[in-house]
Amino acid sequence: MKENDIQRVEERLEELGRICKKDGTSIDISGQVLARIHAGEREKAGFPDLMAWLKAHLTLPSAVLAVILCLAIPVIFYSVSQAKYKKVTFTYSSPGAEKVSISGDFTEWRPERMEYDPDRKEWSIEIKLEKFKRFKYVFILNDGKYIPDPRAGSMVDDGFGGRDSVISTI
Amino acid sequence: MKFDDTNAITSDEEDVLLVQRTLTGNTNEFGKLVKKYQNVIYSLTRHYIRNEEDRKELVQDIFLRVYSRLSRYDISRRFFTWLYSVSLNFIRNWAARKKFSTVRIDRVPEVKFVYQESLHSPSVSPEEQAIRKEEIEGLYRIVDKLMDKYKNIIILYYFQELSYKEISQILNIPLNTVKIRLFRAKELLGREAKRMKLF
Repeated sequence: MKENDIQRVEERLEELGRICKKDGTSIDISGQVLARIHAGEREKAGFPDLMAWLKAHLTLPSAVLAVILCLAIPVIFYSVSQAKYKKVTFTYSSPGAEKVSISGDFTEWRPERMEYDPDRKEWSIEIKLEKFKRFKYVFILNDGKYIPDPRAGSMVDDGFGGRDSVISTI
Repeated sequence: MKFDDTNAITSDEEDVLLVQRTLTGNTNEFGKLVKKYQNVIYSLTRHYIRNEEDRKELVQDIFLRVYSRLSRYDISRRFFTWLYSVSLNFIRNWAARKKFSTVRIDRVPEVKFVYQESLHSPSVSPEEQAIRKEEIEGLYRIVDKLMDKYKNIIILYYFQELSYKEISQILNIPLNTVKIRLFRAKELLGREAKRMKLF
């Protein structure tokens, strides 16, 4: 990286900073925040009444039923949500790389580090993806080089002159 | 005429005072802290969240979180650096939870809009203006693609205009790490700008 490239980046960042400052729209949310705080405090103040009501009305059978429901509901929700997703293992063969990450729609384009398997000589990561959807992604080598997945079924233009890999889940 | 400022308190001291009064039950004092910092935090959110309404809601949620954690605030620390720390954590979690992407490829309308005025200078030719506009917009998109550890530093240093020391307190990392990460971030930006043929 040449020194004048860094300087150019710095100049553009400083300009961006000035633009952001100039575009500083202001808000006044103090009233709303205080209203929400006061509402929360009123709710808290009402809580002892609820406890008193529970003490007065809660019987053993209803307590047992409540516990069963509390345990069952998360399990049902978990099972339903699991059916919506499937696990996909992404692999990339680059034994020489120091670090490989994956970045895509499903990671909000934040790089997720992949693990290296010395036996298989490949990098891999398992990601849970929603079924019946199409996702774009790319591998990142050593934090800098963007590589589309050579094994991907299809590719699309990433808008920056590069290619994004595409995976469709079924 | 001379002012006797021996009794004057600094902005930091005022913050601590407001926190202490809030903690003793005077909730309205917290409103003063919100008024003082709401726009700073609002401007911070623009680099992570695009939608205006979401941003306003988010800023409210941040201050509610701050209020609920106020008893954990260490008064030996500057309030505003603590506020930034809480805010950055909250923004990250909120964005992940709501599955909001940060400001991405087609999501920089504000910059595009104000940019027109910003470069309106007779000394800059229309061609040069066009190139600079493209570079700046492109660079903003690349900043968004950076890993959080680099992105946060660029945002805090260049867009929020904070010092190395303040950033080191906010992110809870040594001063030298701030400098190293900032340099590395600029290197990454330059490299990606070249890859995208911006420079």
